[in-house]
Amino acid sequence: MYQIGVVGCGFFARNHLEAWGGIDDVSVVAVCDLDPARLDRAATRWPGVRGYPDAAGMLARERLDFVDIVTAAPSHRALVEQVAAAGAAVICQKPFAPSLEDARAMVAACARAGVPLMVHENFRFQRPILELKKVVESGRLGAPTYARIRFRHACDIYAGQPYLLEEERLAIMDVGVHLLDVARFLLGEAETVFCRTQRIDPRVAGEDSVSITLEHEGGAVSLVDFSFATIQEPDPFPQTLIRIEGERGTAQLLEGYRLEVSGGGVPIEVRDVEPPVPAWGGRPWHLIEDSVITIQRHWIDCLKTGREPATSGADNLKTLELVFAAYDSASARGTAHQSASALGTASESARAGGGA
Amino acid sequence: MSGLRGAVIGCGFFAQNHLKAWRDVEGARIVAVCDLDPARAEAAAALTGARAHSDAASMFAEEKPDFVDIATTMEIHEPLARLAARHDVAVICQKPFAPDIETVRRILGFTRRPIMVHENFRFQRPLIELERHVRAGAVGTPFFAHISWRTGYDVVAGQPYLAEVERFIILDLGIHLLDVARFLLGDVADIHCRTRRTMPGAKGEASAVLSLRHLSGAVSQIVCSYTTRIEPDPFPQTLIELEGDRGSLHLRHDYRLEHHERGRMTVHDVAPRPPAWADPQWALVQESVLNTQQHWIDCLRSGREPQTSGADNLKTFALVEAAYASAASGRAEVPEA
Ligand SMILES: NC(=O)c1ccc[n+]([C@@H]2O[C@H](COP(=O)([O-])OP(=O)(O)OC[C@H]3O[C@@H](n4cnc5c(N)ncnc54)[C@H](O)[C@@H]3O)[C@@H](O)[C@H]2O)c1
Ligand SMILES: NC(=O)c1ccc[n+]([C@@H]2O[C@H](COP(=O)([O-])OP(=O)(O)OC[C@H]3O[C@@H](n4cnc5c(N)ncnc54)[C@H](O)[C@@H]3O)[C@@H](O)[C@H]2O)c1
Repeated sequence: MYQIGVVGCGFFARNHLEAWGGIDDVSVVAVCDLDPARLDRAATRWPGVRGYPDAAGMLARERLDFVDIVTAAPSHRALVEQVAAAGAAVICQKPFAPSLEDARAMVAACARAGVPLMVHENFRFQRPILELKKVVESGRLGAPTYARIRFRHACDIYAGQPYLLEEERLAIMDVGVHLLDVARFLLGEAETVFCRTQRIDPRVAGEDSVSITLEHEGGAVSLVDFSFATIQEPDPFPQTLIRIEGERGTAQLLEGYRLEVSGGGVPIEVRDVEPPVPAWGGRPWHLIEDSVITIQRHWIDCLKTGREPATSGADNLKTLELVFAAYDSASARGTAHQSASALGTASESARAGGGA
Repeated sequence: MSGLRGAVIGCGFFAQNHLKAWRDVEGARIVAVCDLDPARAEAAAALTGARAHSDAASMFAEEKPDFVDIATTMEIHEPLARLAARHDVAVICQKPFAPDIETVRRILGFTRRPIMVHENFRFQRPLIELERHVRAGAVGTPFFAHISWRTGYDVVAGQPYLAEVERFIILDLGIHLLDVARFLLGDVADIHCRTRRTMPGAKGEASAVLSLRHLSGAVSQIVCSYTTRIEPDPFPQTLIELEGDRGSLHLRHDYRLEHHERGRMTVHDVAPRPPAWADPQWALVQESVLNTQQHWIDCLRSGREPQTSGADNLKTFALVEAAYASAASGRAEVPEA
């Protein structure tokens, strides 16, 4: 039985806690949050779980196999280093870090302590994306040549996560990080990154519409584009829509969890790849909820077998390199060509320092 | 019959659409057709009732047309446009206007009479309708577009010269999409482009991914490919997502135009209304040829500047050059019209 401590009992931690509740051989024994009200709420939902006002107290008093950190990026480094020093393994939410320096320090700290470290990078564990990956790996499409990874919506994400309104680095940090990871997952490492950002919603401080072009090791070119200001009825949130083309065929992840594979002279194949709705969850969040269960099971499998998690800290450094390369690219040309338009900060640039 | 007297030079693969469309254009008729290949000229003459010629210079001298429709490939556009200028004849010329922007500038330099490029994508019914909705404020202020034209249709079968060119899909097809991007979102500040040689046996790039920033601040993506394996294959349709701060327009396969607003989605049928002679597979293209040629004649008669005038098309051509420059440099490039 793995003994788990959870740090952070906010908006997203609920999914972690509910998911742990359904996984065998694990038990959340302690939770902590700086905010007493949130701690109370978690204690009410999970009677018997001990609550702590901070991580240090929790680590001092509990014997934990691993700690699941569900706080925002600026707090990660201090927490990860504390947990590693206490000898427990670490799961850390995305975005892993606000800088590459922090990210590398966390990877090094866990390596020194000899504890496994996984970033809770759950998009690639979404059922539709896992199914798409199987199609790519089956070879049916041939070598990938092109992809578009699209996440555009106008769902009010600011209601549940009001801190997002203040972020100067908004969409790339929040969801771009997931999509860049998916691009790596499906097409291999990216060698160049070109990025344009825009700010559409006047309420936000950062970029809320982004277009990124990647060139991958195998030669494929991909577009990763996402926006929080895209009006569609019905709104596909939180689905990522993907098209991948290879020399022989095309696979498309379409709205409503339809996976279509065609080309190569074989009849077009359409499959429903909608994930199940967890007992504690509901539509349309089940896509995310199910992926939380899947990544947390993956972590337990890795702990049991001694394998490195697919989204280990070391792996996630490569995703973060793309994130920062995207920001560099977006600001490299600064405001030299800024227009006077009401659209605000359309920044863009030439290829930045590159991902790999 | 009254109206303007026109001559067509080049009676090859695509000119068949021009010739058929001229029969339906109001305010003009074709009096002469010309091709180096006499059999092609004769066939064109039979189709239109015009006189057949095999030499452009003598055709100009003998027929004294009001305008000439140049439907040859791009290498011969400059000498034919020069001939037209010498005879003081207005010109409508197929795209690409020329092999490079220097030549385009030279043509514009010696041309005194009206000149229009047969840039027909923006004259396709679905694109006319899309632009009309944008102008009417259907999406508020546009900020994003994704323009996709990806097919496995064998373009080289009908146009074998395409396998030999160093500049392949951007100059042949991307040029239309760049023009559509300008049509929908206005002029362009800079452009980033990656290309791939995905067609075995073709010298140039058969797929490209472009990212544009428009002067308005809007961003657009253009993706085109001749090596996409997909069913159903959308050829020859352009599929577009266009977003503004108040809504979105999606031009989908089979001419569905979806208008998305908060809480509401409306679908418009924007299928082409092809002329009687159209072939169902080519209806979209053939109707656009008729629309383009009618626009040219309407402009000539009223003295207005055509939408895709030579001067306007220079700006589209500058995007093509910037795209190739970016493909080579890896950086975003500023178009220089
Ligand atoms: N993977 C996904 O799909 C997904 C979705 C949403 C959010 N997230 C990520 O989850 C993280 C948390 O987001 P959220 O929306 O739940 O934020 P939140 O602000 O609602 O919750 C964070 C909680 O952590 C607590 N906290 C902060 N620092 C702490 C510390 N040092 N010790 C103890 N408690 C501390 C805060 O008091 C707060 O209650 C973010 O990094 C976010 O990007 C991931
Ligand atoms: N707008 C569109 O949708 C579209 C579609 C296809 C092709 N095109 C363009 O149309 C142009 C023609 O393409 P095509 O495939 O019809 O080429 P083609 O080779 O089939 O036809 C060109 C014809 O011009 C004739 N010709 C060449 N030089 C001549 C001269 N000096 N005098 C008289 N005749 C001459 C040739 O004999 C030939 O018959 C190209 O620029 C192409 O890009 C446009």
